[in-house]
Amino acid sequence: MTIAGLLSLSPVRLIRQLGLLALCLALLLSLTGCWNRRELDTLGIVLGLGIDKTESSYRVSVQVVDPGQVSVSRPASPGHSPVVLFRSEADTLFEALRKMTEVSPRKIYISHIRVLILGEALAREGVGKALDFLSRDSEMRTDFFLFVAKHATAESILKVFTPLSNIPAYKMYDALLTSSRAWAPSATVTLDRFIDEIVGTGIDPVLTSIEVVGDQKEGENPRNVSRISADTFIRTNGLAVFRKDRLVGYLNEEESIGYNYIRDRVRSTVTSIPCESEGRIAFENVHSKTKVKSKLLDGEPVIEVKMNSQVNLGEVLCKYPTSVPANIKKLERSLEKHRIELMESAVKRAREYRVDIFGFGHVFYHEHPGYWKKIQKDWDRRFQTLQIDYKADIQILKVGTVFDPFYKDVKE
Amino acid sequence: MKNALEKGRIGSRQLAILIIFMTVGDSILILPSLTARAASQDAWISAIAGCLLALPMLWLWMALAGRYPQSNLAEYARGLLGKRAGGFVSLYYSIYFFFVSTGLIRELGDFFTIQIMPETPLRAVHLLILLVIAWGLAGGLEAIVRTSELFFPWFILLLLALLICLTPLLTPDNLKPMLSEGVSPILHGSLYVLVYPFAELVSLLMVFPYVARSRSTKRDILLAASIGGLIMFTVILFSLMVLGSYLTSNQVYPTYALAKKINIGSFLQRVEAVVAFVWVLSTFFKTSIHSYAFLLGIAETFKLRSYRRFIGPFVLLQFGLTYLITPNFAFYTDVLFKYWPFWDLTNAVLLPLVLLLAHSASRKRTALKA
Repeated sequence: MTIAGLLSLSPVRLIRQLGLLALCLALLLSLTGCWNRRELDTLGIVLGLGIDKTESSYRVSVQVVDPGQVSVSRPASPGHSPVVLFRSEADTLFEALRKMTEVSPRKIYISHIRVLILGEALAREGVGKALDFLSRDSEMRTDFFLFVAKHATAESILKVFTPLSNIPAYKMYDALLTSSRAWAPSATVTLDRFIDEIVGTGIDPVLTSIEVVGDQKEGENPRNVSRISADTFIRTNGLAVFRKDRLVGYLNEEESIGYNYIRDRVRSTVTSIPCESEGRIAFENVHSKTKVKSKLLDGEPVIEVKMNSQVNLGEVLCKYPTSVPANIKKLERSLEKHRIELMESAVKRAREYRVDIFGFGHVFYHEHPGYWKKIQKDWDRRFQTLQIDYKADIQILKVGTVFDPFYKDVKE
Repeated sequence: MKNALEKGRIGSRQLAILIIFMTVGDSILILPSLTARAASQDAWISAIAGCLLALPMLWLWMALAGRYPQSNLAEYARGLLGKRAGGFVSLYYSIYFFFVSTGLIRELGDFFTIQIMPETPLRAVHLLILLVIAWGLAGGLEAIVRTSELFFPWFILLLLALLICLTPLLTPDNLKPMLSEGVSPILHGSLYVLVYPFAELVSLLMVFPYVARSRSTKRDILLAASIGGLIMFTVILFSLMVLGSYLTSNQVYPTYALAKKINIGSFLQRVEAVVAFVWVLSTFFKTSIHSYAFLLGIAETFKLRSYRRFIGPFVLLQFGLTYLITPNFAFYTDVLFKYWPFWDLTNAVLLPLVLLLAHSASRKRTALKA
């Protein structure tokens, strides 16, 4: 409508039209977007977060991506690191993260973290309080993995250059995911599961431990990954055992696999057992299912661990004819014995630490709540002498593409 | 029906959709954690018990509304209890509807500022919600109901998407041990399931006379309430099975935490904001109907010719009260956990029962006179 047209209207209609115009203009205000929007170039996206404890305060280190260094279209400038590490110290995590603006030009944005690394000193003192902020903050998600830095600070882990993946936090995340699927002595623990097991009744949590192998100083130099064989690298190494939120010790590789078998967390792994004479035979686990049941025998608690598993024979290092059905049967029996030994070794170590990481108490709580209520306070002691019946049932399905090891038939 | 304030009519299918929206309402956000706080891993049994307890309450309302198919709550309260007492009751109910809608808007505001936009002022969120609600109210009952019909497919689609995407994460073991603490925690939990999704449907007593009744209306009402109950049951069950009873009870918004867990092949993930649309919609319609019931009740009490005049003052009042209703979030949840259920029950069960008794008493009196 033209201005002349507007003026020719009666006063009432003029006010109406102007009112409508004002309304339309007012509606424009709602098109401006979010109130507290944050542009990508003002955020420092954190992929790895490390928490350490100093004398009286928290020391937080964050691994922030340098977007220019990881973009696909523009090759990274040599000698520059794809990630930057910032650290700060404060009484609380919240303060420490905000304080990082003293050194970082961008605001620290932690909702995309892939890994959270807890320094050993902090873990031994108890991590519960350090996790409150992460479980409370609205920007946090629970899809990242938790690690304990074995004999190290979280900061030192986050400083090491890693081969193949130029963002170390991604490297750790992917390595853990892959190894938990194909190798087994690790645990992909997310924040919500960890908290659930800390507060859970009759169960204590574990986390995967991670360590720097080689010289720390060398690992912090980009030269480390410019060679074919990196001298310094980080690797996951078995499980860390907690009593509630306090680190009490570590499981070695075998014990960690045993733990995962009991908790039914094994996707696939390779294990070997000795041959009758010398050498070993290796098997790939293709399927395994463990059921843990509880029962009371004359008032005494008994745990039954029943495993059912299918494996494929993968490698033979002795002159053992693998085409003979009776031999396969024999191998199945000794493999079953081996599996049970793995599980027993895990339980034995857990008893040394006096923590029920397998959740046997939790099984009693589920299946015999009345009994559990009575002995709950006393469970730590009962766990030490608890009767555990293991049963393993293993089938060897395939032996690969040959019948017998070829060197069995070598003419001498 | 001479000077009816509401000229619009809604169909029985539209009423059903409205009931489903209102049952899910804000309950989808707050109910899982309230129930889990009371009944821990048995909260899903509470959900079933709560739905069953709701049946007699629905029957009570339908008995009451069935006696006066042409009038709303305010009208027959006055008819039954006389000008003074009846007027007082209808004013009281209007204030109750007003407070429920205040609470609902505050819940949405809190949700947005706690979970999604922490730096946005609470009042900015409230104002936006209120403006949309006022727009709906100006359009009248028919406009609100038709909008709900329009959004219904999206609502169901997103809700189903949420539930289906979560099925790989279900851990039935989380529900054990069953009944370990006996029946009383379960009953405590069922109180919330009875109250927040169902008892607050009492505002529909203001809407029933405008429903074009058919033979299936009664059945549709029950069916819609059962679908709403089923949705609440499933959400509680999924919260327990995915998050476990501890995290469900300690999360402020367990359903949002659930949506955060969606991760299908590292591809379909971080969809929680999309899923949040579900409860924004359902809470919006619940709030609209409560606000509508308030306006209608006030207009009825003070014999106004139209309730629309009052929309402006309503928005201003509501804008102030949503901010003032609670000093902080912890206080509000504490009230929701300890006190609010009984207020709801008073208005949803006790007062309608009194009205029904008054009705049969007056029938007897007229029978005696004749």
